[in-house]
Order: sequence, then C-alpha cells, then structure tokens
Amino acid sequence: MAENYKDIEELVKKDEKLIDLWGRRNPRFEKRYEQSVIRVISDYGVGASGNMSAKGKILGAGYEPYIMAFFIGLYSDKKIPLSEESDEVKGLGQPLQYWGNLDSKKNRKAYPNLRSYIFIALVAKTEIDWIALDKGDIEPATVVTALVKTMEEYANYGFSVMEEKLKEDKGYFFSNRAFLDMFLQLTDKTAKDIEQDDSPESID
Amino acid sequence: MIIQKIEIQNFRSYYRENSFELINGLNLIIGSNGDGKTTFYEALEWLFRTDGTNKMDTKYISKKRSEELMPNSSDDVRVAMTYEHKGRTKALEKMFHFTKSFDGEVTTSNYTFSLIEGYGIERVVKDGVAFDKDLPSEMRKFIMFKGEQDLNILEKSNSLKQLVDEFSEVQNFEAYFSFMEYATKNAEQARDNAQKLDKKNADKIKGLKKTIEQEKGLLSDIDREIHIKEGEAENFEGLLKNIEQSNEASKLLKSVNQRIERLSQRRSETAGRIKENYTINLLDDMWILLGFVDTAEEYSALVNGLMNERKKQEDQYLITAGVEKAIKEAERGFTALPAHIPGRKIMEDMLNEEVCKFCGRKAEKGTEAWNYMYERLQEYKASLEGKADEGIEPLYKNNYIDELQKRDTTLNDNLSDIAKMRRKVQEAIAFNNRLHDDIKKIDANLNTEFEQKKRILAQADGLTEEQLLANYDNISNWIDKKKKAEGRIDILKRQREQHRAILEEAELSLSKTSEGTAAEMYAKTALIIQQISNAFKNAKEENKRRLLDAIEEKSNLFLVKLNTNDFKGTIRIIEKQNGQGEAFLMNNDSMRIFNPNTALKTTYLMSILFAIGNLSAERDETELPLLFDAPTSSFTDTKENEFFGVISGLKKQVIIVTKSFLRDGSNGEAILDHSRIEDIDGRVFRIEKKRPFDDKKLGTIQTMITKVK
Repeated sequence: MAENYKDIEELVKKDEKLIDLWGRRNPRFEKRYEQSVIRVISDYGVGASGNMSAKGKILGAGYEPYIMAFFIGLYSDKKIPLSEESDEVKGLGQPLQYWGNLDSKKNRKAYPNLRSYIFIALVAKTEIDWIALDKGDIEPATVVTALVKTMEEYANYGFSVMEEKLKEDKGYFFSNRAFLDMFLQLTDKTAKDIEQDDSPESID
Repeated sequence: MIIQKIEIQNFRSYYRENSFELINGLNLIIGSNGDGKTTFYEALEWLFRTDGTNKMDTKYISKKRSEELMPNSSDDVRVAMTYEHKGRTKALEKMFHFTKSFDGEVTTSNYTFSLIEGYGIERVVKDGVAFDKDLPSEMRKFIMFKGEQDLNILEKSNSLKQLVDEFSEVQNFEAYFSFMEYATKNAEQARDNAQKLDKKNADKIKGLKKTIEQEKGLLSDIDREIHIKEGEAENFEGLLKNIEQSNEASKLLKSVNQRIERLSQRRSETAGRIKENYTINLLDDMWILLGFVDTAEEYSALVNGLMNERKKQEDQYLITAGVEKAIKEAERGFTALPAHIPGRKIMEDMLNEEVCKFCGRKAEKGTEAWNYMYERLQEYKASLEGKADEGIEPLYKNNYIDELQKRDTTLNDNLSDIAKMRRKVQEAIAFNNRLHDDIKKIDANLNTEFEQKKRILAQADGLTEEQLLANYDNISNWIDKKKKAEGRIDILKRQREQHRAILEEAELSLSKTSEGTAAEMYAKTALIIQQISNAFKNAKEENKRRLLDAIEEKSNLFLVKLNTNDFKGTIRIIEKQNGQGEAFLMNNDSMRIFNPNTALKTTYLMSILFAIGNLSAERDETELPLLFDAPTSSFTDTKENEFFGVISGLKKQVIIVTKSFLRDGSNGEAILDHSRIEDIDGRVFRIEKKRPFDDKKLGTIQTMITKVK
C-alpha cells in the first residue's frame, strides 16, 4: 500500500507544469533598489488598492518595475548576480503567477500572457540539462530555481540601469517615452553596436 | 381751424399788448435765446388749458410791467387767440387782473376765460371751456410740440385710441353696440319663448340650441386664447425691439463662439485620441515584446534540439532495453503465451486449487510452477493497467521537454505578431505625432478666433459678453416664442372661422326650424339682429385698420416730400395689443430701422403729424394748425430750408418758433439772415429783447415783435 501512495505522489508531480512551479516563486531583488527605483516609479509598498495616478506613480504593483528591469537586462543580454548577503536581498510580495493580473487598477488592462514570454526567455537563457530533468535525474525545483536566478540576474542589471537614469534625473521615467525609447534603442539591431558602447558595463 | 391772430399782453416778457397776425401757411417766429420764443409757446399752452388748473399766477405777470406800475394801480394779463373754425370767427380769451399795493405787493384777481363768437349784437360769450368742442383737449398733443423729443405722439399712451376715436367713426358705434347687445338678447328671448310652444320641433330645437351654446363657448375660449397669444407675441416683439440694436454684435459673437466651441471640441477630441501612455502600453499591450523575436527563436532552437536529443536517447534506450529483454526470454527456453491467456478467472482458480489446468499437474503453493503462474497473473494485471511494456522501464519519468515543445508551438503561432510589434509601436508613435500636429493647427485657428472675439467685444458698446450672449439667446428665444404665438394665432383664427360658420349655420337652422309657426318671425328677427351686431363688431376693427392704413399712406407721402434728397425708408404704423400705436421706419428689405438720425426721426414723426392733420381736414373740412417749438435744431441749414420749403407748400397752417435764420453779428448779437428768409414762402416774425436791457434784472426784459415778412 505504501507503494501505491508513492505512485499517486509521482503522478501529481508529473502532471504539474513547470511554469506552474515557477509561478509559485517570488523572485528576489537587491533591497537598495526598493528605495532608489521601485518605490520611485511604482506603488510598491503603498497598499494594494491605491490609485497610482493619484500618487503620481507611473507603474502599479512592484512587479511592474521588476518586469521593466528584467527586459532591460534581457535585451541588453546582461546579468548581474544578486548579492550573496541574504539581508541585502528580498523577495517580491507577489508570486510570479499573479503578475499582470492587475485586477484592481483603473484604466489598465491585464496582461497575464506576458508571464509565458518571460518564462520562455528564461528557458532560452538558462543553462539547464533538460534531458536529465525529464529522466528524473534532477528535480524540477532545481530547474525552477535556476530559471528564477536568471530572471533575478537580468532584473538586477536592469535595476542598476534604471537607478543610473534616476540618479541623473529624478523624473526620468515620468516621461512617456523614457521606457519605450530605452527598449526601442536596446532592440534596434542597426543601432545596437553603437548603443552598446554607451551602456553601463556588465559586472557579469 | 385757422389761427388768425394771437395777442399776448403782460405775459412774462411780453410787455403790454403784442400781437401776431398769422397766415394760413407757414408762420415763422424767429428769436434767439431768451427772446421770448418759449414764452410764446407757453402763453398758448396757458390759453388752451380748459381743465381749470393754473388759472392765475404772479409768475405769468410781466416783471417790467409790474415793476413800473404805480402803487394801488392795476393792469391785466391777457392771452387771446382769434381763429376761424368751420366758417365762423371766434376768439378765445384768458385773462386776469393784477394789482400792486402800496407796499409793492402784487395780487391777482378777476380771472376770466371766455370763448367769444360773433360780433356786435350777435356777440355770444361762452365759457372758454367750450373751446374743447373746436379743439378737444386730447387733440392738443397732436398739434403742439416742444422740441424734437416731443414729436413721437404715438408713444404717448392712449394717443392711438384718441386718434381712432377722433378720426374714425368708431366712437359713434359705441351707442349702437350697447343697443345691439340689448336688442340681440331680447330678440333671442322672444324667439326662445315662441319656440317653447313649438312642440313638434322640440328635439331639433334642443339639439341646435345645444350646438349654439357649445360653439359660443368654444368661440369665447378661442377669442380668449387669441387675446393671450396676441399679448405674448406683442410682448416678445417689444422685448426684441429693445434688444435688437445689439443683435448684430451678439450674432457675430455667437458665431465666433460657435467656431471656438467647435474648435475646442475638435481639439479635445484630437487630444483624446492621443494615446501616449507608452510605459503602460509596454506592459498592458505587451509592447515590451518588441525585441523578443531573437529570444523566441533562441527558445525554438533550444526546444527543437531538446526534442531531437530526447527522442534519440529514448530510441537508443529502447533498442538496448529490447535486446536485454530478448536475451532474458531466450534464457527461459520458450516464448510465453500472451499475458491475457488463460485469463484472470482461470488463473486465479488454478492458483487457488494449486493445479495447472492446462497440463493437469499439481502445482502446490510455493513451488516453482505455482510461482510461475502467480507471476503470469501479476503480468496480466499489469498489462490491464497499461503498464506492461514488455517489461521495459521507460527512460523518461518526466515530460517537461514536451511542455516546452507545446509552448513553442503556440509561440510560433504568435511569432509573426511579435515580429510586427516594433512596426506597430512606431506607427502608434507616428499617429500620435500627427495628432500633435493637428492640435497645433487647431490652436492656431483658436487663437485667430479669440482675437476676433476680442475685437467684437471691444466694438460692442460697453456690453459684457454675458449681456451680449444673453441678448442673443433671448433674441433667439423671443423670436421663437413670437413665431410660436403667431403660429398659434393663425391656427386659432382659422378655428374661429370654422366655429363661426358652424354657429351661423346652427343659428340659421334654428331660425328656419319653426317655419310656418308663430316662432318663425321671432327667430328670423333674432337672426337679423345678431347679424347686424356682428357687422358692427367687424366694422369697428375694419375702421381702425383703415384709419391706420390711411395715416400710414399719407405719412409716407409727406416723408417723401420732407426728405427729397435723403434716405428716408418707409413709415409703418401698427396697433399693439395694449391698444397703443407704434410708428417706425422700415428699410426696403422690411428690416426695422432702429436708430434713424435725429433729422430723419423728426421728419418721419412730423410726416405722421401732417398726415393726422390732413385726416382731420378731410373729416371736418377744417385743418388743425400745428405748433412747433424748435423742431429743427438737429437740421443742417440746407435741410432746414428744404424742410421749410416743403411746409410752406403744404397749404397748412404751421407755426414754428425757432432760432434758425439767425447769424452772429459783428457785436456778437444775433442778426436775421435775410438772404435765407427771402426763400421762405410764408410769414416771418422776428422777436427780440428790447435794448438796452440789464441781463441781471428781469424787470428790464421786454420782447419786441417785428413783422419781417
């Protein structure tokens, strides 16, 4: 009978999608960015039901600057590992599976599908022995940890860029074009070579 | 009525006896300031006063005369007018006695006011009040005018009614009216009484009477509503008149405001279409994927590689595992029956009975044979659960690569959209930029309109924008309401005609019902009386309208004469609902002229006066004289000459007191301009202060009269 129980457990594990395991994680960031970046441009830490326009913030939940940071890192293809000091990092309050649901914001649309793309990027950008995972030689949790780590490192780079911009100009991201122009530049293949010279150097 | 002579004795500046012999035509009395022009006019006013007021007053007494008077002596203040009226010569005389006491006090006494007719033995002296018969007191406002402002007689309340009473036959109708009402009532009563006896037609009569009663009720309702609506229409007309002068400015302003409103609306619409929440678009519309294609391709490549590798390894594994299994079976020495033979029931029986039912040999529990059978049963059970892989363990415990592959399929479906994302974003930016350009253009237009608006407001004489807009709104509103009221009046009048027809028919029918009976004659009589009564009613209205038309027509003839070389417009005379008349000028486009220049105003109002005078001549074969005190002060010399020329050609007695025809002499005194006087066809008097005089002492002032022509 004990063997039967084990079977049931395995079946459950087997049917669970990796993205769902990933979705339960709360990616971490370096605490210093909370004050210097995240709180400056989002409602992070001011309560769930606040109206962001009333507070003059351009983004809602704290995961929104995180997404921005992640894509900056992704498109720059630059990562910075998180500090190894555990009291210098903290996890975002909301697990990844809720990112983009945005149900309490006015004039905003939900964008849950973006999660899949982040996941796809993480898969593409993380060194993982997927065959070993399917064989059961490594645990899914280990893989998910690796994916989240990639995410954290990209975002960590992104935060450093954002912090840099804000140091130069406190209102930098309050311009409609700030993030968009940044992404247009980062992804402009013809300009990329020139841009790279101006970009902050990766510590990676 | 022709005034032949006016005598003024000891009346203010008119010291001792003075007289003006007047002609039937233009009479000019020319004097400068303080020469006694107004006193002349006032003396006549005093004379014409028949209401018993202001009989005697020391203020009328000539100061010069009273000062020179010896104590305990006396003299008279007297104003008299000799006139011809309907072939008879009469004199109106008003006088009182004044006495100076020893201590210099002047008192008045012995007031007399008399109308004297005939001469010698036939001389009859009547109370001066009898003058009212020749010139009704209400009519005086139509003949005497002080200054130009005084000319708009129709603005004076009741004057139209007086005109109508005086010049149409309406007044005579009043007595008929009340008689006809009385007669109608009696005739109907007599008819009713007679018809009560007519049993045969009782029902029909009853029905007709009911109809008549209903129709009369309806008609009176309609009349009442017409009256109310006419009042409304006239009220709005009045409001419009007051405000239309600024209509031009407020119309312009309104249209500018409309344009501004349209532009502002377009601006806010355009601004509303600008969607520049780019930061939010990055997330909500996933614009952030604008550079994702590389990553997506990387992912696809990875997943395809993994799929291939996974398959390759599995195939390899299965081959290896298959070989191992074959070796195992070869070691057993035979190939076993398929797992489902002989089936679970038989197998379980054989195990329970510890016998092989295929070969018939015993197979006790725990023996190799029994164990073999037990293994076979387990194999079978496993095969039912689908687990039997011929005994080969699967290589992969997980299907995560499969999950990745499925995601890749979806991703590929979306890839073309993602690839277009960059262009989509750039198009959105370009679109917004175009809208910004549009707004710039709109702003430029808005500026122009605001400038225009300021100009209009600056031009509008001291009216605030609110006032002008209120004016415009009011005007539109009032025009609307006036039109509605007028439309309603039209409908009501048509209804009234219909109901009148029904009523008449019913009445006619009622009169015929009793044919051959005693009631017939009564009914017919009643009908005739009703018809006469109605005729009177219509005639009254008709008469009034005809009178106004006549005044209008004649006025315009005079206006043409008085303004030969000038713009004149057309005079319109209407009756307002409150019974007052109104005269105004119209342009040839039927637009009302609100602010005619003073000279034009004077001439058109005078034209009306002449017209009224003319009518009175037609009626009475006597024409009323007209007396004007300084009516032409706004005229230019040329205009004035022209004006007097016309008046002298009217064959109408007009007495004008004026300071025209005077020019400054070398010593600053006013000198008569003889060259201009020569052109005047009529009598001319010069009145002036007798020199020398002390301008500080009223007692030295005396008006001297010289007949110039």
